[in-house]
This record gives sequence, C-alpha cells and structure tokens, in this order.
Amino acid sequence: MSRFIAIDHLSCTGCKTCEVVCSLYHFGECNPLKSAIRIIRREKNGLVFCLPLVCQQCEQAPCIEACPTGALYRDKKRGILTIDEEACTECGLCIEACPAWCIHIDTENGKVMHCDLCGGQPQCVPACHAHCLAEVDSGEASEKQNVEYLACVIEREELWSFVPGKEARL
Amino acid sequence: MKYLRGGRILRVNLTDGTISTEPVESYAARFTGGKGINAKLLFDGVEPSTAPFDAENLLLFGVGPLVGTPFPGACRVDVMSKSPVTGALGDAGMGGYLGAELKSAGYDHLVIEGRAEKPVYLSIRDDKVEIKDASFIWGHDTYETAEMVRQDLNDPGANVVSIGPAGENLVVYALIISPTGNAAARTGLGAVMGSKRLKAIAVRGTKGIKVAKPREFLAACHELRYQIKQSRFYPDVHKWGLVSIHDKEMRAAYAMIGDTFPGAETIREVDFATKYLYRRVGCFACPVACFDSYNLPELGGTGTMKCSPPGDLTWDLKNPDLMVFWETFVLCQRYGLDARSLSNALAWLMQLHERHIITAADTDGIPMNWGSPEAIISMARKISYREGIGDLLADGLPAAARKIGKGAEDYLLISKGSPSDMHLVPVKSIVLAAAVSPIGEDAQVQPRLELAATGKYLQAQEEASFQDAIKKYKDRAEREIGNREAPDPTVTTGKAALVRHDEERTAVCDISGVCTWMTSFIGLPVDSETIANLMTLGLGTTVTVDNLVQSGLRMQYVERAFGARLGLTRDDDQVSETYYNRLRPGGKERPEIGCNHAELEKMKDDYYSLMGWDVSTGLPTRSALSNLGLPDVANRLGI
Repeated sequence: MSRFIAIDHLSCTGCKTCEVVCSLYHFGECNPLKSAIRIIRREKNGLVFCLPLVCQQCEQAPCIEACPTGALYRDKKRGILTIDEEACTECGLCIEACPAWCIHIDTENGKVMHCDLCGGQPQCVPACHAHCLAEVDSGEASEKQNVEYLACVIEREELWSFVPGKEARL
Repeated sequence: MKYLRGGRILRVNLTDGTISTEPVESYAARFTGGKGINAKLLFDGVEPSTAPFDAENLLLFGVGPLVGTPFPGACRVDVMSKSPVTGALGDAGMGGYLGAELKSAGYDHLVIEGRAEKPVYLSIRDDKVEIKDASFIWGHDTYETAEMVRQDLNDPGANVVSIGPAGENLVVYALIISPTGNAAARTGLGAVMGSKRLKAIAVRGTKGIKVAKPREFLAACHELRYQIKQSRFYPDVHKWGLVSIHDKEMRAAYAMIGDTFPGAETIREVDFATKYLYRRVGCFACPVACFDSYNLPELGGTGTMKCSPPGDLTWDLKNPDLMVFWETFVLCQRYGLDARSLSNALAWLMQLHERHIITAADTDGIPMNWGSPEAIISMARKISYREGIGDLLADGLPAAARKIGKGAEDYLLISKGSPSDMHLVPVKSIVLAAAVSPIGEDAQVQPRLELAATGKYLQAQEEASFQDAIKKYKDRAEREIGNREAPDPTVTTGKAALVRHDEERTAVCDISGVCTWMTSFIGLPVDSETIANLMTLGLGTTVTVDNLVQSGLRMQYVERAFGARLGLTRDDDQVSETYYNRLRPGGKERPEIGCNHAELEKMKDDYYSLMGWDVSTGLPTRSALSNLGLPDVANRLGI
C-alpha cells in the first residue's frame, strides 16, 4: 500500500502555490517548470478552470512499465515511485506513458521529475488553501482519486491543449 | 541581484522598435521595487509638458521582490503612467499571474515608450522580446483578444493582458485586463495603452526566481499561511470570497450615508454566488481567492468578478437587480471599461436627470432614471464606443460637466478629477486620504478605525455609551498611532495619523508586491514585519521594517514631486463639494460626523507636518528630500 497526493478536481483556485512550494523545496528556486506538481488552467470567456496534476503512485504504473532500462521503479520500502538517475537515459517514454501529466522532464538538464512526497512530508499539501490536495493511502482512495480519472477530467474540460506533448490528443 | 529579482528593467520603444534592458539594481536599494521603482521611473522619464496621450508618456509595469514566491498574496503588478483622468499621476494595481511570469522571464519592470504606427502586441518569452502586428486583433474585445494572441503565438497558456475597444477609443476610464479578470482599472491606463496602439502584452518566463535561504523561506511561508488560516475573518472570505463581506458592508455603508431605496434589502450577492458560481479563482500564491468565475450564458454572459462592482452597479445606482449588474459588468470586462467609473458617471447623470438639468433628449432618448436597466446597460457600450452621450463622457466627467453647464459640475463626486467610490463613507479620515492622494480616492487606503467608530456613534444613545463602545478602537489607536482620540468621528484630532498609518501599510505592500488584502484591511495578519522577515530570508541580506517604511515614504515623496513639477500644491489637495456632509443616516443631517472644508484644511496641516512637507505649500522641502536620500529628486525639482 502506498501513499499519494489525491486531487479534488473541483476545488483548485489556480493559485500555483503548490508548484512554487515544490520547486522551492526541491530546487531552491520558485519555478513552476521545476515542479513535480503542475496546474493547468483554462481561461476562456471568463470561465476559469484549474486542475493540478501530480503523480498518483499508480499500482499498475504505466510509466514504470514504459521504462526501457528499469530506471523507474517502485521503492518497496517506501512504496513510492523512485528513479535510479544512473540508469535513466532521459528517453522520455515515461512522460509519454502517463495517462495524465503527472511526471515531467526538467528541460534545463533533461532529468525526470516526479513526486517523491518530499521524503514523507509533502510540502504542497499544507500550502493548498483550497483543500484540493490531500495525502491519502491508496487503500483508502476514492474511485475518483487516480490517474485515469484525472485524464477523464482533462478530456471532459478540453484541457489537452495545455499539456505539452499531448496536444495531439485533441 | 541574484535573489528575488528578475534582475532587469525591459524598455520597449514602440516608435522605433528598439528593445533594451538595464539592471534594476541601481533602483532597488532606495525604492525596493514595484510601485516604488515605478514612481522613480515615471518621475525621471516623463516631463511636465508631456500630455497623457503623447508618445513621450511612459506606461510602466512593475513587479515587487516577493512576487512569484509562495509568500501569501505576492502577485501584484503596479501599472503607472501620466493619467488622462487626473492629468497627473496615474496608478493602478493588478493581481493574477502576470507578475510572477514577468519575473520568471527575467524582468522586474517593463517600460513602454513611444507609439506604434500600426496596432501591435508585445510578446515576451524570456530574452526573446518581439513587437508583433495586432491589426487583426484591433477592435476585438478583451475575451477575444487573449484568445487571438495565444493562437497567434501558438501558446494556449501564455499570460496575456490587453485592452478592449474602450482603450482603443481613448476612453479615459479604460482599463488593462487579464483573461481572469485581473484589471489595472483606475486612472485610465488602458487609454494610455491604446494611445500607444499597444493591444496586448503576452508573457512566458522559464527562468524561475532564486531565493537565498529556500528552506527557511518556505518554512516561514508555511507559518504565515497557518496564521492567516487562524484569523477570525478568514473562514468567511475563504468560503465566500468577498460577496458575504460585501453584503454586510454595503448595508452598513448606506445606513450611514442614508440614501437607500425600495428593494435594496433584496440585493444579496451571496445568493447570486450560490446560484451562479462556476469556480472560485485565486491570484498567484493567494490563500483567499477573492474572485470568482460565474457562468450565466443566457443571462448576460460568463466572466470573473470580485470586490466592488456588484455594489457599484446596484446600491450606488438604486438598482436592486443583480442581473442588471451582471450584464453590465460583463460588457465592462469585454470592452475594457472601469465599472466603478461607469457607475459614478451613471449616478451623476441620474442626479442631473432628477434635478432636470438634463432630459432624455440629452442622453440619446434614454431617460436617466435611478435604477433604470436600460440606462445602466446601454451606457457601457455608449462610453466604450463613444456613441452619442458616451462620447461626451469618454473624455472624463469634469470635461463633460463643463460642456453640459447649468451647474452640472456641482453634482460630481470626484477627487483629483477621478470618479470616486460612491459607497466609501466619507468620514473625516477617508476624505483626507482622498484629498492628499496623488491619484484621487484610492480604495486601498481606508483607515478603518474612524469608520467603525462612526457606526458605534450612530447606534449609541448617549455620549457615555458611545465612549464605552469605542474603547477598543481607542486602545488600538493608542497602540498604533499613539493617539486615543483618533477614532472619534466628531473631531479632526489624529485623523492625519490614521491616514499616514494606513498609507504606510499599503506602501509597504505596493513596493514588495504583496496584495494589501493580506493585511489588517480584511483582518489578516501580514504586516511590515512579516514582509521584512521574508525579504530578509529571500534576499539573504537584512531588511528591516524601518528600511521598508523609509522606502515606502520615498515612493510617496517621489509621487508628490511628480505632481509638484506639474505645479500641483496644497490647493490641489481637494475633494469635490459633494463629499462634504454627505452622511445622512435615517435621512437626518449629522454635520458633526462626516467632513467639511474647514475640517479638511485643518487635517491637511496635520498631514503635511507628519509627512515632513511644507505646511503652506504641501510640498517636500530640499532638506526633507535629502534626509530621505533623495537629493536627485530635489535637484530635478529645482529646489
């Protein structure tokens, strides 16, 4: 059983605090492009819809299955997605494989960025005023708290054009 | 400038297409950032002879040092120019996401110079800055413009701000707005942008913002968020945004002003929100989320709304119908028109109509009856497109009043030429704040103690119970400004100190980039000390409260000096006559509360003394400027 950051897709206000908190914690700077959690925001005709996306620690993880070198694996002890940076060839197949947009490449150095739950104390969860993020056990997760559901929300809200590399799904 | 800064000022000259950058460092030590640096750039860059719509006028966007970090509410962009509304300083702040993006692209300030030959938009993508053709967008509303710019750039997530038809048509009440409804609405900055033929600005930044002590900074932000959540007022604003507070405030304001109307009690923004809310929306790093997205496709349209417009277009116009407000407000957003200025203009016309100074024949056949949906809804388009009576209003209310004549001027509610907030109750400290402000009434500066005490005064049956009821305000005044009598609405004592205290609060926010709503303004705990502490951790060098207060004061001195070069003095620190004795609770005149001209003049004496300005002229002296480290400003003033 693993823990992960569950998303309430109805309550995000798009403030991006989670993104900058993540990048500040891991990289020492405020940069939404260096964050394991990403918000996509559609602003059309005054209708604003925001959705955060972060690794759901899938049991059958498409990213792990797609990894050709075994660099991406589940750490048995902690139960979370982990990367062996030595073995990673930065091929990007894991990013393509994720049904939503929950794993990323740092465009500056090519390294894979994914949620590591900040070593046990996720920084984004207490920073989220909207109660949109919650750390939960996969065993207790609702049917809406998984990567496939997030992908459905992206589809339903017509958000694919905001996801780099996945515009083709339009 | 390694930390908390983009590091550069970007200058774009639309006349000759030159693009250049300079380090922001030389300005940062004295003026910190945001509005502080903007003020100095404007003072140095715009000559008194330059008219607001001249190519030589500058349009400035400034982002403070905390913007783009997780500091709660650090999102503000200060927009400044010489204003077509005041003829002097123009300034407005906008929230949203533009500021963080601009910083991430490596810029703290953007200076727009000159005038393009044909309509253009500006694309900023890190170091790649391009002036692009906008002929195909010109004429489109702000909703369409953002979409068209994004399509043109093939970047659906680009951060865009734009003007609408109102700005293009040089309507002096035009605003600059983002697709999430964050607007630099006051003082006509959208018209200045239109005069430069600049339709939109699109920004993408990928560089990020460095922080000197990341873990400590982050921990302090977490702590601050925790404190905010513990505040007494937080649950209400967090649940409702502003609509719940606003429902109460409008009732309290009009109880004091006394000018109510049938159906007013039916105006309930909370019901409107409950029924039509699409999503709550929040600015960058904001734990409140004060604006909301609404979905009423069949009833006026879709849009985002916050704060005051529901009151502006209902209570202030004796219109009980929030649907009329909504339809009008969506038009304002699309056309890029400041809803508050529209509302003030409408109320003025309705007064003139009531007093037979104008008739329906003067207003394109539409009778300007109080609360008339036809009058309210149609005027947004008329002004934005300069149609009929709208053309007259589009050059500003004082100019329109001169043309109408017949004493129409006497009914304007304005300060420094700028249409005022009609539901800001003009008690003594509020009137003083409006009179001495360089832009006219500034909704951010609202000393609350006197207002709160005024409510108690009206409830109290006798002097003793009143004094008892305001004891806590007196205690707070003693703590904050060292004057126990200041909250008493019947005396001028201490009012200047109340205004100074509040100006200091907003100035520190404005130079650091923090939204003033994170502060005591709505009962939240951000203050100069928290800002100084976080700037210290972010910059890696000590910033004290005193540093920030001095820097904010420098900003105010420079704003004052900008006016001084235009010949403005103490005599120009006025409000329109309509401000005086406007409070008629229960229909009865109460001259002891509210303000009159003699009281204002007395409070001005106190205010200039506190500012260190010459009391007879209301202007900074050379010695005061030098003491603040501004000898260059004194030199430019020729004193």
